[in-house]
Amino acid sequence: MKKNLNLTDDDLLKVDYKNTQILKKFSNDNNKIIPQRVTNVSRSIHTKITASIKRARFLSLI
Amino acid sequence: MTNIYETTMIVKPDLGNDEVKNLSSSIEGFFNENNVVIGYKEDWGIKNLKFSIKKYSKGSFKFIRFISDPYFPKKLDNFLKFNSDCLRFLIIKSENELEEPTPQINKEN
Repeated sequence: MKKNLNLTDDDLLKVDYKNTQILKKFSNDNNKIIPQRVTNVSRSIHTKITASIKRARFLSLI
Repeated sequence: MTNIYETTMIVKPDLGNDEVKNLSSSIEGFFNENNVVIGYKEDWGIKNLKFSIKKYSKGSFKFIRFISDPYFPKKLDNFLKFNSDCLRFLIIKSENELEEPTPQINKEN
Protein backbone atom coordinates (compact mmCIF):
# COMPACT_ATOMS: atom_id res chain seq x y z
CA MET A 1 0.00 0.00 0.00
CA LYS A 2 1.30 3.46 -0.92
CA LYS A 3 1.98 5.84 1.95
CA ASN A 4 0.79 9.46 1.93
CA LEU A 5 3.62 11.56 3.40
CA ASN A 6 2.09 15.05 3.01
CA LEU A 7 5.38 16.54 1.83
CA THR A 8 5.87 19.19 -0.85
CA ASP A 9 8.56 19.08 -3.53
CA ASP A 10 10.49 21.80 -1.69
CA ASP A 11 10.58 19.68 1.46
CA LEU A 12 11.95 16.73 -0.49
CA LEU A 13 14.66 18.85 -2.11
CA LYS A 14 15.73 20.13 1.34
CA VAL A 15 16.32 16.61 2.68
CA ASP A 16 19.48 16.58 4.74
CA TYR A 17 20.91 14.71 7.75
CA LYS A 18 20.17 17.80 9.89
CA ASN A 19 16.48 17.86 8.97
CA THR A 20 15.45 14.99 11.23
CA GLN A 21 11.69 15.72 11.17
CA ILE A 22 11.47 14.85 7.46
CA LEU A 23 13.76 11.84 7.84
CA LYS A 24 11.55 10.36 10.56
CA LYS A 25 8.70 10.13 8.04
CA PHE A 26 10.84 7.79 5.93
CA SER A 27 11.57 5.30 8.72
CA ASN A 28 9.16 3.01 10.57
CA ASP A 29 8.74 2.35 14.31
CA ASN A 30 11.75 0.03 14.34
CA ASN A 31 13.87 2.77 12.70
CA LYS A 32 14.08 0.84 9.44
CA ILE A 33 14.11 2.74 6.14
CA ILE A 34 10.76 2.46 4.31
CA PRO A 35 11.23 1.08 0.76
CA GLN A 36 10.79 3.22 -2.31
CA ARG A 37 7.85 1.13 -3.55
CA VAL A 38 5.87 2.25 -0.46
CA THR A 39 6.91 5.91 -0.24
CA ASN A 40 6.59 6.37 -4.02
CA VAL A 41 9.29 9.04 -4.32
CA SER A 42 11.72 9.20 -7.23
CA ARG A 43 14.94 7.16 -7.29
CA SER A 44 17.21 10.22 -6.99
CA ILE A 45 15.37 11.55 -3.92
CA HIS A 46 15.23 8.12 -2.28
CA THR A 47 19.00 7.64 -2.58
CA LYS A 48 19.45 11.09 -1.02
CA ILE A 49 17.09 10.15 1.84
CA THR A 50 18.84 6.83 2.58
CA ALA A 51 22.26 8.53 2.67
CA SER A 52 20.88 11.27 4.96
CA ILE A 53 19.27 8.74 7.34
CA LYS A 54 22.56 6.83 7.62
CA ARG A 55 24.46 10.07 8.37
CA ALA A 56 21.90 11.07 11.01
CA ARG A 57 22.17 7.60 12.57
CA PHE A 58 25.97 7.93 12.71
CA LEU A 59 25.61 11.22 14.63
CA SER A 60 22.96 9.64 16.87
CA LEU A 61 20.32 12.23 15.84
CA ILE A 62 17.59 9.70 14.93
CA MET B 1 39.53 24.84 -6.69
CA THR B 2 37.46 25.46 -3.55
CA ASN B 3 34.31 23.85 -2.18
CA ILE B 4 31.93 24.46 0.72
CA TYR B 5 32.32 21.84 3.46
CA GLU B 6 30.57 21.37 6.77
CA THR B 7 31.50 19.52 9.91
CA THR B 8 29.33 18.43 12.84
CA MET B 9 31.07 17.45 16.05
CA ILE B 10 29.81 15.74 19.19
CA VAL B 11 31.84 16.99 22.15
CA LYS B 12 31.84 15.61 25.71
CA PRO B 13 28.96 17.26 27.64
CA ASP B 14 30.73 17.46 31.01
CA LEU B 15 33.54 19.83 29.98
CA GLY B 16 34.16 22.92 32.10
CA ASN B 17 34.09 26.47 30.70
CA ASP B 18 37.89 26.64 30.37
CA GLU B 19 38.06 23.29 28.57
CA VAL B 20 35.34 24.36 26.10
CA LYS B 21 37.21 27.61 25.44
CA ASN B 22 40.49 25.70 24.94
CA LEU B 23 38.82 23.31 22.51
CA SER B 24 37.21 26.07 20.42
CA SER B 25 40.43 28.11 20.37
CA SER B 26 42.48 25.06 19.32
CA ILE B 27 40.02 24.33 16.49
CA GLU B 28 40.07 27.98 15.37
CA GLY B 29 43.86 27.96 15.59
CA PHE B 30 43.99 24.89 13.35
CA PHE B 31 41.77 26.65 10.79
CA ASN B 32 43.98 29.77 10.91
CA GLU B 33 47.17 27.71 10.49
CA ASN B 34 45.83 26.35 7.23
CA ASN B 35 44.51 29.75 6.06
CA VAL B 36 40.87 28.59 6.08
CA VAL B 37 38.19 31.05 7.18
CA ILE B 38 35.21 29.74 9.17
CA GLY B 39 32.13 30.89 7.25
CA TYR B 40 29.32 29.92 9.63
CA LYS B 41 29.21 28.51 13.13
CA GLU B 42 26.39 27.08 15.22
CA ASP B 43 26.05 25.60 18.67
CA TRP B 44 23.14 23.16 18.90
CA GLY B 45 23.56 22.74 22.64
CA ILE B 46 23.50 19.56 24.70
CA LYS B 47 21.26 16.86 23.22
CA ASN B 48 20.24 13.40 24.31
CA LEU B 49 21.95 10.81 22.12
CA LYS B 50 19.79 8.01 20.71
CA PHE B 51 22.49 5.50 21.70
CA SER B 52 25.49 5.94 23.95
CA ILE B 53 28.85 6.89 22.41
CA LYS B 54 31.98 6.09 24.49
CA LYS B 55 29.67 5.62 27.53
CA TYR B 56 28.15 9.13 27.16
CA SER B 57 24.35 9.37 26.82
CA LYS B 58 24.43 13.12 26.12
CA GLY B 59 26.54 15.19 23.78
CA SER B 60 27.22 18.83 22.98
CA PHE B 61 26.81 19.45 19.24
CA LYS B 62 28.92 21.98 17.32
CA PHE B 63 28.48 22.82 13.64
CA ILE B 64 30.96 24.64 11.34
CA ARG B 65 30.67 25.49 7.64
CA PHE B 66 33.74 26.67 5.70
CA ILE B 67 35.24 27.14 2.24
CA SER B 68 38.49 25.33 1.54
CA ASP B 69 40.49 23.39 -1.00
CA PRO B 70 39.85 19.61 -1.18
CA TYR B 71 43.00 18.77 0.86
CA PHE B 72 41.96 20.52 4.07
CA PRO B 73 39.09 18.14 5.14
CA LYS B 74 41.60 15.24 5.35
CA LYS B 75 43.84 17.32 7.63
CA LEU B 76 40.84 18.29 9.77
CA ASP B 77 39.83 14.62 9.95
CA ASN B 78 43.30 13.74 11.32
CA PHE B 79 43.15 16.62 13.79
CA LEU B 80 39.74 15.69 15.21
CA LYS B 81 40.51 11.95 15.28
CA PHE B 82 43.23 12.49 17.89
CA ASN B 83 41.26 15.03 19.92
CA SER B 84 40.16 13.30 23.12
CA ASP B 85 37.28 15.74 23.84
CA CYS B 86 35.59 15.04 20.50
CA LEU B 87 33.37 11.94 20.74
CA ARG B 88 32.37 11.76 17.07
CA PHE B 89 32.46 13.99 13.98
CA LEU B 90 31.25 14.08 10.39
CA ILE B 91 32.83 16.11 7.57
CA ILE B 92 30.92 16.34 4.27
CA LYS B 93 30.68 18.53 1.20
CA SER B 94 27.82 20.95 1.81
CA GLU B 95 24.88 21.38 -0.55
CA ASN B 96 23.65 24.50 1.32
CA GLU B 97 24.80 28.06 1.06
CA LEU B 98 27.61 29.24 3.33
CA GLU B 99 25.55 31.23 5.84
CA GLU B 100 22.28 29.28 5.69
CA PRO B 101 20.95 28.41 9.18
CA THR B 102 20.31 24.72 9.91
CA PRO B 103 16.93 23.29 11.05
CA GLN B 104 18.57 21.99 14.25
CA ILE B 105 19.15 25.46 15.75
CA ASN B 106 15.47 26.03 16.61
CA LYS B 107 14.95 22.50 17.85
CA GLU B 108 14.86 21.74 21.57
CA ASN B 109 16.84 18.76 22.77
